[in-house]
Amino acid sequence: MSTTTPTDTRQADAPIVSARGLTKAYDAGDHPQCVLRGLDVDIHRSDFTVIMGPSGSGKSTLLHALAGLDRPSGGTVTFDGKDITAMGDDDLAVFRRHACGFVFQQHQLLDGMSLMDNAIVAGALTMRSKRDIIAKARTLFTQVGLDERTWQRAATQVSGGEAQRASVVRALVNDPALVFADEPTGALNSHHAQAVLDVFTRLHHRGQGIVMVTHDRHSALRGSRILYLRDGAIVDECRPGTYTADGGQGRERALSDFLERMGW
Amino acid sequence: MVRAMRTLIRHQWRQGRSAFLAFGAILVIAACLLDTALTLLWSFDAQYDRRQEALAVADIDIVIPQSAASANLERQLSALDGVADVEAHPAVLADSDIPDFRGADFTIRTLVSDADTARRLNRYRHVTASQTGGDLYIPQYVAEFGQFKPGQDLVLRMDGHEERLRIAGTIEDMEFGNAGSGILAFTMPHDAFDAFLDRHRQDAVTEYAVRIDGDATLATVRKDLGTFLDAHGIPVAATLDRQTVRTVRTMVSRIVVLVLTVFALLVALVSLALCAFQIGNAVRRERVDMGILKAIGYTGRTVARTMLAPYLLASLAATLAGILLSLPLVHAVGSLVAMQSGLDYQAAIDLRAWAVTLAALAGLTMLCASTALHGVRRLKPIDAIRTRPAGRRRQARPLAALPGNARTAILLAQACASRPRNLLIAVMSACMTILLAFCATLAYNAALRPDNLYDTLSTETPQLAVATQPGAAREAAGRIASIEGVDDVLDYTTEYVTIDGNRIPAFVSDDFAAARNDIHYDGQHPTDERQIALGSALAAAHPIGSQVAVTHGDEVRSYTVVGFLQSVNDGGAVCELTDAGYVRLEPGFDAASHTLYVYCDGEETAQVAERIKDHADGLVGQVTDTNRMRLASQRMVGTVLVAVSVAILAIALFLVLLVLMMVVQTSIARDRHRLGILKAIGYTSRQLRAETAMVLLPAGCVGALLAAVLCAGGMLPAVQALFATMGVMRSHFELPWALPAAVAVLLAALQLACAFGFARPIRGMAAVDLIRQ
Repeated sequence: MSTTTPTDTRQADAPIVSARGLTKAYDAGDHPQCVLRGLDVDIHRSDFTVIMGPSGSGKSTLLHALAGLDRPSGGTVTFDGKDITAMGDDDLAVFRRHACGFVFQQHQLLDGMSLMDNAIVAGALTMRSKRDIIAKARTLFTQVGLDERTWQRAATQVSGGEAQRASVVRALVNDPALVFADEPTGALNSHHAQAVLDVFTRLHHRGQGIVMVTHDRHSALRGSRILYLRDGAIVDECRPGTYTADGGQGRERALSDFLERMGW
Repeated sequence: MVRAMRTLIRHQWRQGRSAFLAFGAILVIAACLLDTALTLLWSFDAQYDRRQEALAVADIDIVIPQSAASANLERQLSALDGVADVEAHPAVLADSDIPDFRGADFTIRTLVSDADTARRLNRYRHVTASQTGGDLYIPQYVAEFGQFKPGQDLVLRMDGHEERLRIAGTIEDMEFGNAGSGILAFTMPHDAFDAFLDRHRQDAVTEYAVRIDGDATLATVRKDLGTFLDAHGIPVAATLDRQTVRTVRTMVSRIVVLVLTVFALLVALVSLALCAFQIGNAVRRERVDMGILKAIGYTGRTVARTMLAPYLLASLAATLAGILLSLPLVHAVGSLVAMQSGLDYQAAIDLRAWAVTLAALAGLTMLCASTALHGVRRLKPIDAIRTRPAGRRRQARPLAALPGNARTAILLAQACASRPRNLLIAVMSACMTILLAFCATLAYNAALRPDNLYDTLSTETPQLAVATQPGAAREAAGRIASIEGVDDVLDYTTEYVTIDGNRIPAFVSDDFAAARNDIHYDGQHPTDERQIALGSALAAAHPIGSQVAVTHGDEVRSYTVVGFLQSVNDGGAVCELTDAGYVRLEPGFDAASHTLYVYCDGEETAQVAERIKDHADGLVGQVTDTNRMRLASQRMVGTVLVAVSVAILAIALFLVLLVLMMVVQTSIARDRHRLGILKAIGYTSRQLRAETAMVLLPAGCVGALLAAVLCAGGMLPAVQALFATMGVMRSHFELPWALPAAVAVLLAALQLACAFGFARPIRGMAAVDLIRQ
């Protein structure tokens, strides 16, 4: 069996995020809707973790809880040794600015600003000098394949793929421990989606920890660890190995088998 | 169609209920102030004129010594050109002190006449009466301002006699019923008057009430009467005309009307800026809906009307509410003005004021809203539908090009992002700075520097006024000057002379430069025996450099006019002469009793008065503690002005809070998505609240500072212009440059703190919810 339970997947490096007994329930009148049900999971910085599962399984909710973007109803999330579930709102915000980078399904850039300005707005959280932020953002824009003419345009004036790559730059500008991506290719065509996934792969190869939610198997193929969620709990996971440019028949087959077993 | 529009209008109302309510609340204040101003403007003057007619007020009143009056003189006066009717009224005219007049001694000339003699002209109206009767009917002015009631005793000190008289009731007198005319009229029951006349034979006078022909000119007839009396050697104790009296007695109401109107316009300006801002937001918010409506066949005009209608309805409702609220305000302000004027003013509904207030505010709302909605008609449906509803304009300059570090650049970019918001904040800040700077000016000069207000409204007032024994002025002055605590002594005597048929006070001194309150506003004080300075009321007829004839008793002398003076209490009818100048009219002046003005800053005036009586015994007579009167008067006026300032401050603060609340709420609602993104990437609630508040600061500072500069340069001229309507040609008001600057800084700080407070809802917003939206 190529899959193991989450508790068996501990690697040599210590997990940067540990969730224990994580629950999340939404108040839906007389019948509270339970999205996460006592979930335990460890996330390692060396992984490109992909969270998959059917609609409504709690993928995005888990991602938001792990990143301190949403508060769980129960359980704890420890991020780099700190219990983020015990933090106040402003402490959580400070934590996020240093530890997490976010890429959302819609790019969520500030549409009245240029792509560069979006990066500056994020960079201003940890750096005072505009020059330092711009220098860093320039490097990142180049890394994600955006030229100067593009990054000077407003978010509404560029393609979805370019905007999403700009949102990756924004996510990286403060050197986060983990980048959290919530279906980052969900709103893109296949060409743009490919470009964004290539950026993620390159980042992972350079040692950037990534946690990505997706329901797309091609996107999932980029991950080094696939978690499968159903009804608010992780039911299984697989480690297809590190993604290479040629894709690798073995990885694709391993993922297909895994997903088939999960009933995908 | 009508039903559809009604539905759409209801939808608009539900969408922006709080915006309409805020707009309405500000308009309520504007309507209330404007209606009060207009009601006072029309009803006060109208009531005044009606009452003048009802009491058959004479066009001209001439008071002469009874010894000079005769039936023949009455016939001769009646026969003059332009004179329609003359009626003689026997009376007593004398300078009187009224002790305990609102806590201080009040000095005024009093005209006492018979209440029971039937009159054709200058009738009285009895307003209140004592159940137990009495000896004296007092004018409304004395009752209200001096705080006297029927049944109480009132003391009149006349010619060294003290008359303690039981007040029988109050009367309304439209000619001599207010101190502004320089004479206050009292009446007595017939028997009491006869006895009073016997006691004051030396002051017996006859008042000739003159009615002029319909086609005659008041000024001409008045001059002719003066010329006739001069030609026949008849001394005139006093002359008044109804036009001058009307001007003096309606002066405060006119000032109140002016101030209220300016305030109403400033408040209306803020409400209109808020209206334009809210409509701009609604257009942005409803862009897609408007596109859909146009796409399904609504015309641009109809869509614009559905957006305009709620504002118009809110404006009409708010104006009506403001008008209703103005009823008690008219009553309250009317009572204040009535107290000063001596008119028994009855606050009444004025439909003209209602109509003009309604038309002005609804019309301005229509104009402002129509302008703001201009773009709706040109909106292409497909553009509107395709554009994101909360679409924001691309910022003008990239952050890299903005000055300052990253945070500063972000703030600057946000601050420049909304022109309508900045316009609203700037207009509001400017208007409120002007209002508050006006308050600060009043409070500063009435409470912190009360002498400024007092000196503006009065003539020279020392701490002590000492009457010398005849011929002892020089020796008494020398003796008093050496007394401990006395800083300075100035021989400053008030006598009476006649110019153009009017008996007016003449301030006689050899050293006007030593006076503390420089009342001259043009030219200079007289320095030799042939020079005279005239009050503002005489300035038009006697320019500087001209010769003026001055009469005193049988003496008539000519003087060169060298300057002009202000004197509010005397209606500007005063003059200044040197000792030698007055000696030309009254050769025995040096040997007569003078008044010495004693200055003793920082001393207990009562103790200095005692020392004067001890050290200058035999040289001085009565010592009057004018400082006590001054302080009482300053306290009274200061209290009123501080109350006015506090009321204006409350209105200004209410407006600031309301506008800021609307702007911050709108900003948060419009920027929910942006705030969510920023929260997600690590901005704290405190940072976002601070940013929401601080982006308002540049516009607020610009508005407040521009207004502060305007106030620094224009407030004193504006106050001077206001005072000019009262006859004050030279205001002593000060405005330290720091005062408007401090107002602007405080207002900006207040705005920052309030906006930060109003941005509190940001705390409760969850980043993930905002992004999901």
